[in-house]
Parts: sequence; C-alpha cells; structure tokens
Amino acid sequence: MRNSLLTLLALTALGCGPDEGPAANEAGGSATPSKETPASGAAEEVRGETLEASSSGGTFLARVTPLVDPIPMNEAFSVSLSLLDPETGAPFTDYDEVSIDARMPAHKHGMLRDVGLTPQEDGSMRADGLLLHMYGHWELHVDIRKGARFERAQISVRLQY
Amino acid sequence: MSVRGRLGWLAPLALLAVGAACGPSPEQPAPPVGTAVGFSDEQVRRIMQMSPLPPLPPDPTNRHADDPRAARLGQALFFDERLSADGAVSCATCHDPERGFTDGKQLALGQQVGNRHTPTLWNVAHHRWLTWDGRADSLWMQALDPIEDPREMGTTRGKLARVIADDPGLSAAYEAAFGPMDSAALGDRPDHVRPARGREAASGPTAPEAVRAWADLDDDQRAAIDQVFVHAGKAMAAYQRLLVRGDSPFDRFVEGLRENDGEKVESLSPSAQRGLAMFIGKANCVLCHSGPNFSDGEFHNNALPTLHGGEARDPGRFDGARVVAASPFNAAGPHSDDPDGPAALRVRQLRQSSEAWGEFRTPSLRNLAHRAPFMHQGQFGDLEGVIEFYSELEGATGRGHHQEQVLVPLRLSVGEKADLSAFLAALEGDQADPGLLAPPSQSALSR
Amino acid sequence: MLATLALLFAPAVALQEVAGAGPSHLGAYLSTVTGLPRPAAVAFGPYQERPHALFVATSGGASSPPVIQVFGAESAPDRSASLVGSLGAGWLERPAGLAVSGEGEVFVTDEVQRTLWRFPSDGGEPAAAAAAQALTVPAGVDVTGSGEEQLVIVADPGAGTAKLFRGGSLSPESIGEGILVRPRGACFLDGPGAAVRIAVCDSATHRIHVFNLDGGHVLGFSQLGPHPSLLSGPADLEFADGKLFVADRENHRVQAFHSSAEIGELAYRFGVHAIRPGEGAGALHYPAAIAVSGDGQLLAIAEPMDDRVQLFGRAPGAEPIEDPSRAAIGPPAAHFGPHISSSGIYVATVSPESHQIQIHDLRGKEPAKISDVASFGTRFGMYRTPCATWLSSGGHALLTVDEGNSRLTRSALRVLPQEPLNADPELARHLDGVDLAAVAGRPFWPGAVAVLAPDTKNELILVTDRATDSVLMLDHDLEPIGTLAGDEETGPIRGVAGLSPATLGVASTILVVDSGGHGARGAPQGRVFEFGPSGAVLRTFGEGILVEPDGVTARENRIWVTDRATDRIERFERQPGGAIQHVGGFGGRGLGPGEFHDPRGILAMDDGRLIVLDHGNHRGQIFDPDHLTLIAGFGGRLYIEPLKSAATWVPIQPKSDRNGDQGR
Repeated sequence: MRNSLLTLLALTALGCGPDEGPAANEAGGSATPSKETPASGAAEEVRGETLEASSSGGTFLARVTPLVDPIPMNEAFSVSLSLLDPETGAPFTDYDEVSIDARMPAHKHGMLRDVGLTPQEDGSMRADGLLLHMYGHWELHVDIRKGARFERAQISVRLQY
Repeated sequence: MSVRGRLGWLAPLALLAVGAACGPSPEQPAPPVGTAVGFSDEQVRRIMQMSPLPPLPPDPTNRHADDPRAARLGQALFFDERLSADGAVSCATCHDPERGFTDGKQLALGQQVGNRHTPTLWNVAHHRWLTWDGRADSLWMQALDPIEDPREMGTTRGKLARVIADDPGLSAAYEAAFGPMDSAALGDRPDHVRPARGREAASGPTAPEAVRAWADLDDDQRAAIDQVFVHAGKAMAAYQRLLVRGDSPFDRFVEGLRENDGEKVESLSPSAQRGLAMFIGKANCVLCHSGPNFSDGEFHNNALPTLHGGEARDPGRFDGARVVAASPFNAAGPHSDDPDGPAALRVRQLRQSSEAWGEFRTPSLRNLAHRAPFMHQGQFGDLEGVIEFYSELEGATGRGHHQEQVLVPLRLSVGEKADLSAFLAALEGDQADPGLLAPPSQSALSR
Repeated sequence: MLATLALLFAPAVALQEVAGAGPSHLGAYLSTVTGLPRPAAVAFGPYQERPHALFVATSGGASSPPVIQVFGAESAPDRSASLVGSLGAGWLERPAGLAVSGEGEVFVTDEVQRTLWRFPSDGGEPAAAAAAQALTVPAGVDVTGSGEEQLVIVADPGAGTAKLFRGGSLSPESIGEGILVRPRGACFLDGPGAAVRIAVCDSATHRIHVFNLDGGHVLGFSQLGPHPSLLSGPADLEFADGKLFVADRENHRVQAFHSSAEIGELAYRFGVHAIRPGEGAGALHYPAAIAVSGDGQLLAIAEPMDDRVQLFGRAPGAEPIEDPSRAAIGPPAAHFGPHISSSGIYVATVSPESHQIQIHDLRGKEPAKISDVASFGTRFGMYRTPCATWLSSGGHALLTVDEGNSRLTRSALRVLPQEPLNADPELARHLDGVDLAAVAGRPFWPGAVAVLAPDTKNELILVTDRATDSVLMLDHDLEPIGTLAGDEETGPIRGVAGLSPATLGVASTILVVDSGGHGARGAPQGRVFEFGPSGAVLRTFGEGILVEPDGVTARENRIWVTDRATDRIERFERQPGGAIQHVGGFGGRGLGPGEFHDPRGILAMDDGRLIVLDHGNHRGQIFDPDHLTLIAGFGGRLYIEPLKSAATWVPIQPKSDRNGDQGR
C-alpha cells in the first residue's frame, strides 16, 4: 500500500501536473484498479470501476463502487460504499456517523441532492440518487464523525463527454 | 500522527494527478466526411450525445401517462375555457400551439398578469422538473396548480369536477379512461370548493368563500374531488407527453456523422456547424444546455437583468423546491402511482438551500421559433438579445457570493454570434401532428 | 425625496397627513446623530417629560467611557436629536443591549460584566436584574409589561439561547435550546389573540425564530443570502407596525417581515449599502442595532463602525420606492473581517458578508485573491460563520474556525510555486476537524485560532472561547490537553480577543489579548497575557496603555498590538530577563497611510513585513516595521485611493510617546 502510494507520488513529482483542460482519457472517474473482484452471482447488478481513497488522517479507506458504468452525466445513480481498515482490509466500523456528498469546486456548487446511506447485508452501504448534473471535475466526499472528530476521504471524479 | 498518516492524506492528491492524465495527448482532428468544420473525435463524441431525442421517459407516477383515452380527455381539457373564472381562459390561451405553446408576451396573462413568461410545452415530457422554478415534479402535478391560481385560471377543483360531469363528451371520455366518477365528488354542494392556497386562512371569516365551503365538506367528498382533480391532471399530462418534436436539421446532421452520410451531414450549413463547434467549445453553452433535450433540467441563476430594472426579486428555485417538497401532489405523495420509485426519492432528497435563490430551469433549445421573448421574464425580445447578453453580460445582477459561478462574458465577434444563431435555428424540429394542436373533435373524444 | 423634505420642514402637519391617509411605511431618512463613540444599542422610551426619547448606549472610545446618552428626537424642527441627559456613567464596561420599559426603567446588558442592569426611571443607582452567572455573554434585550407581568428577554450568544425573565425574577428560563446557535437580538411581538411571543435573530444560522412564552418553537424563517428576504448576520430586531424590523447587518440594510398572518414574508426593505467612506443619509454600514418609538413614528439604527445613529420616519405608501440605480451595485462586495493570517505565499482573510475564507497570493505587489474556501451548511466541510483562520507550513496547511458550527476544520492548500498568479477554486481540500462544543462539553463560542510548533510533536492548536473567556489547547490529533485562563493574581480575562505565538529565548509562549472593558471607574482595562505552553501565566503587559486591544503578533523580541478604541498600533519589546516593555506606537483615526479605523488583525510575516487589517477602512496595510513605512495597501478601491494620494510612500511619524497626540 505504502509503496504504491510512493509510486503515485513519484509520478506526481515527475511533472505530471494537473492540466486545466478536459483530460482525454476515459469517461468516468479517476481510479486505482480495484483489488476486489466484482461480487460473483450478482449478475443483474452492474458495477463500475471502484474508486478509493485514504482518509486524510489514514484512519480508514473509503471504497466507492458506482452501480452503473460509466458514471452517467445528469442521471441519478447509486453507489456502494465500503469503509475499510487501511492496514488489514477488514471492515472499518469505528465511527458514529458517515455521509457521502459531492461538490464541484470549480463552479462553487454541490450536489443538488441530500443522499442517505443504507447499510447492506454484506456490511457495505448503498447510496441512491446521486446526481452529477454538469460535466467537469467533481469531488466525492466520504466523511465520518467519531465523537467530536470529523475525518474525510476525498475522491476525484471527472465527468467527460 | 504516524508518518503513514501523513502520506495518507497526500494519496488522494496523487490519485487526482494520475486521473488527470500525465500530459495531454494531442488529438488529430480527422474531419468526418463532408463537414465544413473539422470536428475532433472528442467533439464528435460530444455531438453524438446531443441527438437523437430519446424515447419518452416513462412516468410511473402516472399510470395513465401513455393511455390514449386519457390523452384525448386531457387534450379536450387543455383547450376548454370553462376551466377558468371568467370562462375565457384555457391552458391554450397562454400555451398557444400556434406560438410554440407560449403566448408571445413577456409575462403570462391569464385572469391577471403573472410574474413570469410562459414556457413552451414542446418536448416537455423530457423535463424532470416542471415550470421555471420546478415547483412540480411531474407533468400531472404541474397541471393542477394553474387551475386554482388566481392569476392563471382562477377556478376551483370543485368546479372542474362539475364541468366534466355536466358535459356528456367529457364525462364519457373521463369514464373511458378512469372509470365512472365517484358521486361523492358531485352532489349537493357549492360549485366552487378548494383548499386554502399559500398563506390564506383555512377557515374563519377571513378565509375565501370557496375555502370555507371546502372545509364544510366531509372527508369522502374532499377525497373524491381530489381524485377527479388528479385524474384531470394525469389526463392533461398524457396529452402533453405527445407534444414531441425532434428530427431537426441538427439531428439529421448527427445521423450523417453516425452513418458517414455526406448528404445528411449537409443538413447543417457551414455557419451552423461553426455555431455547433462554439456551442460545445468556446461558448460552452452545452454546460447547462446539455443532453439531447438541450437542457440539464436543473436550475441556474444567470444574473439576468430584471424587467422592472431594479433588483432581482423572484426567488425562483428557492421557492420552487420548498413548494414541490411540501405538496401532497408530488411523486412521493398519496396521489402518485409510484410513491417509492425514483421520482419519489428525488423529491425526498431535494436539497433546500438559499443558494438556489434566483435560479430558473434551463430551457430546452429545441424548437425556439415562435417562442420569443426569452428568459423567465421574457427579458430578451429575440435570440440575438440572448446571445448578446451571454457575450457581454451587460446589466448582470442579482447573484450572491455563495451561488454557482459559471458565467463569464464570452466576447463573441459578430460572425460568431451569427454562427450561433444559425445553429440554434437548426434545432427546429419537424411539424407535429396537427390533430394535437386543436381541441379534439367530439367524435374523437368519445372514441 | 420630496416627501422626506416635507417631513423635515413641517413635521407636525406631515405626521397628521401620513397618519390619516392610507398606508405608510417606516424607512424615510430623517437625520443622523453623529459623534457617538461606538454606539452599540438603541431604544426609545419615556425620559422625564418626553414620551419617546432616544436612548443610545455607547461602548466608548479612548477618552470616553461607556454611557447611555438620551436624546430628544421629536422637539427640533428638523428632527435632529439634541442631548437631554445621560445615565450609567461609571457602571458600564461594555454595553451590548438596551431596552426601556413603559415606566422609563432602562435595561442594559453588559458583555464584559456578563450581566443585565436595571436603571430606575428616577435616575438612581441601578440594580442587577440577573443572578450571577445567569447570563453567559448577553447581547440584545427587550422588555414588555410592568410589575408582576413584566417580561424581559435577553439574547445570549455565549449560551446559545435566549433568556426570559418574568416579573422581576433574577433567574431566567432558557428559550430556544437546540434551535438557536448565536442569538444576537430579541424582541417581544404580538401573537394571535392577546398572546405575547418572542422573536430572536440568529447571526450564525441567519434566521429569525419565533417562540411562545413557554419556549415552544412557532417557526423559523429566512436563510443566508444577499437577496430580498434573505439575511446575513442579522444583529438585532424590533417589532412595530405588525412587522419585524431586522438590522440585516452584513447586507447593510433593514428588512421588514410580516409578523402575523403572513409571518416571515418580506414586506419591504430599505437602507442601501454605503459605498464611499462615511457615506450616510440613509445608506447603511453594518447596522447593528435597531429601535422603533412606541408611537411608531421614528426608527433608529445604530452603526457602531461609523459612530452614528440614523433616524428614519414614516412616508406614504406601503413600501419605499426603490432606487433602480442601486440595483446595479449588486450584493455587498467582500469586505475584510477582523482576522488575518499568513504563511509562505498566502494570506487568509474572512469575508463577513459572504461568510467565506479568502486566500490571497502575496507574490505580486499587493495581495491578490485567488480562492474562496466556502460552502454554507452544517456538515463537515461546510461553514456557517467562519470567524478566524491560521495558515502554516509555508502555506500548505489551513486551520479555520467557524463560530456558527462551533467547529475547527483543517485543510490542505495546494501551493504551486511555479504557476503564474491564477484564480484557483480548487485550492483547498478539507482533511479533518473537531466539534469544539463536544470537546469542551458545553456551548463554545470560538473567536481566534493560532498554532504553536506546527508539524512537530509539540504542536499546539489554540482556540479562544468567548463564552468562558479562555483558550482551549488541542494537540495535533485534535485532543484537548488544557485551557489557558487568568489566574488568581491576574484575575480573569474579560473579553478574550486575539492570539499569537511568541518566543522567549528558545521556548515558545502564547500571547492572548484581554480586551478588558472600561472597568468600574471608567479606566480602560485592556492588556495582553503571556502564557507558557504548560498553561502557566508568565506575565501581563499593556495595562494603562491599551484601551480596547484586539489583535497581537510577535516576531523575535518585538510585539505589536492593535487597539480598536485609539485606532493605533502599540509596539512592545522583550527585555533581557523576559519582561515586556512598551516602546511606542503609531496610527490614529484616518484614511491616510498609517492611519486606521478599527484596526483588528495584525501579523508579523515570515519576511519581516507587518500586515494590519484596517477593518473599518475595508483594507489591509503592509508596513516595513523597522522604518515604519507603508509598502502596500489592498482592499476596497475607495479606501485605497487615500493611501496613494501621497506621491510616494512616506515614512510615518513614529508616535513614541503615547501620552502625546492620540492621532484623532
């Protein structure tokens, strides 16, 4: 985990600065390849490429799998969210509240929906009704609260044409 | 905090950098056959997403949405002037089929002058929120409020039930679509009954007469009248769903791109093709006017100058979101035929925020002919005025710090403005079935 | 306009006309009472033979202690006010709210004494109208009824509730727990039937809430925004004419909302945003207090930033005629709030009107704004009322404190040294944060934030709490490790303000401003505390010199403190042995280089420059502190022009002897 992070940091340092124009790669989110194979037997459920990010303090890993492929522009979609312990990969449960939201910082607006999370039998959570209504760079925010503390894991999604 | 913790928060930044692609890959514009403007692969991809108009989205909240019998009743009601206080106004008065289903006025005039311009009904079924401020989340819900709004039709649901019941043609059409009307909706009661609107008193001496009469009814009567009211809305929605016009020169152009057909590609003049390139490029109109309906269906505050010249006063979406969330006629309510479906979820999750103040629904840019004037107060007499505003943003007012910031003055040249105009003109769809543009004949009604 | 002139020259006749014929509204500008040293509150009530005298509580300037001045506003033909009396001299330290009963009793809240006074109508000595510790940090107050039926309501932003006193009781009932966050003004209003209700304006949520006398919540209305019917930092409200008149402080206007059948709907608004320095005559600049006379004829608005109270009267028509030329002005342009921080290439300020944190890049000649960190809400990553910031780690780390959410948020800033100056809306990303009230276990009212030893194992995060006049200390993991407060020898801090790290030899210390108030005998009590990192008080300094200090900053052996009452910067130096000595100062009221109006935040930057947030002048000034020359100014264009009026930047005359010219 740490080595891949260092590799990514090295890539950053090599001058691959963020470009301002529309990136020419695939429609959908930026991603690390998921280590997880899609759930077998869930033939009717579409799953897109999993996006993940470590929380700012390294407390948890947020793994977001869109239940649609690719993430659509201006159409409601659902995601599956898992919180994992970054070292062991076991489910992370040491929190009081969790929320998921999205924001488009370039336009100074958020998502037009307040989306709730429903626990699923396999320990993950499902959020329905996310809507990214404009093209461009979105941030997905997965925030937890434990007692008085808040911590965020942030994932970038770029909606392309 | 451990060192791992410190690296941890940098990781998302690294992911961001990777996702953003190390270095731009140069795109070789490969003009498809016959286009006057060289469109890159990516631009072609964008263009493909703007056509054709997809099949009508289903509306499970209205089980009669695609029932032709309901549509015939709805069409009759749409043109029926008896559904107004003075007997001279129907839906078609403001939504005039000859004028792009609008009325050529800046502010709508029903029983009184309203506060906004009449929006078109072409392709209205493709919108997820109805009216300028989105106060209705379905076509059938939208049809209800104007009937009782004193500025629009100014009548009551009680009177509506009587009009239908007393007219043999309407009554037969109603029964064919919805079954016999519940007699509790009729019977011995005043014609005009309706619940209180807005901040009217619901009872007592200051309440309007029709409102007091509504309070005097028993529960069965009120429920039965509401059902007729809702059925009328669902019938009008079924009719309005048929008001579809695609097949514009632009759509033929896109077909030409898909099929590599040089002749179809010529459906767009070179000027219009240049306008299209601007639409998805420098002018970036597509940011809000996105998708095959040329509207994201959501709300934006363009800081438009106001009709009266002073500060903006129309709260727009800020008010509309409150109204739709609170209404018993929304997709999550008791009259919806799909109260647990996606539309219901959408209205339950709707974010209420003052950031939406002054925001209005992005209009569709298809079928713009005859729809002048433009914008929510009809501020601009023609499309040239609209393009001029986006070019210079002169007179822009009324947007706050916490609101979305997307507009910048485009500073278009004369030629660029003409190109955009040419492109917009190419979004004009084919003629619609003339049978939809007038009241149905009596025989059609009773079929 | 003509109607206003008619009122000015023939008041008696005009009043009858207006009263008789058709609807009229309050909001026609009449006159201004000037020269009031920081008027904090206004009220109308009977005084001697006058039934509708105007009472103004001033919180005082350098040479004038706080007092309540009484004006007769109805006697002079031009409706200007003449001073007819005063009360409270020697009793008040920092008055915040004022109300007068029908019998002429005067109720005053004092935010440094944390109490409510009742002055009897005969002008005798006041009595405490609240038990000790019944109020946390009181603000606005209103009174209705008399004797056993008398009701007094006090907005208490320190406690986050309103306090209702019944029939002279000293122990109040709490109203609005869990609903109110930072209530600033409160008033009684008529409910249905003969019921009395309470309206409270909340400057953190930007809403008005209405309660029954038993505390039941009737409704809340409005939200943050500059548009009609929206509010920004509502500071006070008054019930009159069946409407709630709200001093919409950060929108620089007054809005009148219906209070009965159409409760919460906007009736009308007046008072355009003052743009030019000192502009008045109906233009408003941070209106902070509002009162309406019992006969509904006069409305008074206090603007402490401009040392004035403006009077408005009635005019015909249901609402004021809008001046269309003002529409083009748009919402108030971002001003600078009272805090400033800097590190590396960035400077952070807080904009009060838009409740955003603004990041400026220092690499140009003047700071240039490149990003806003903002989004309004209660969830993590959103802000209600950001009030202070701290930048560190070369500009990579940003801490923000939000008094509306009682929250501390940590964020990372992108720093791209090779890029040209460019607006970058994606500059900040939020990392984590902490709920300060949950950490402290009680209502917490954050004010300022600072960090000692960032990115080390000794990192200390300091946040001031105005509710308890103390400083909370957190470690890097945001765990609480202690509190800084005055000790037995020094007495408590009374009005905690700015914070700064300092150095004592190789050790770090913490400077905390105690803004003090005027003290019982009218002598200013401002001073600065120095704490060691363990929390022990090392010393205090500045007594007898500082009147109302606010910001503090230290670099090497030099310390600078801003003083809001004298409009000066005072300089101190560390002596060998650790003692801190006053060595001079500069400034004074004005618009020119080195002149200030309500200077607040101050910062000695890494490169040695001194940056002063000249809050009342809507600008910042950057100095070379060794030579006391002005290097640059930034901010509102109309306020920067006077800085440039000198042909070149000139050295400012150092005022090394404070006993000399006060600079006014």
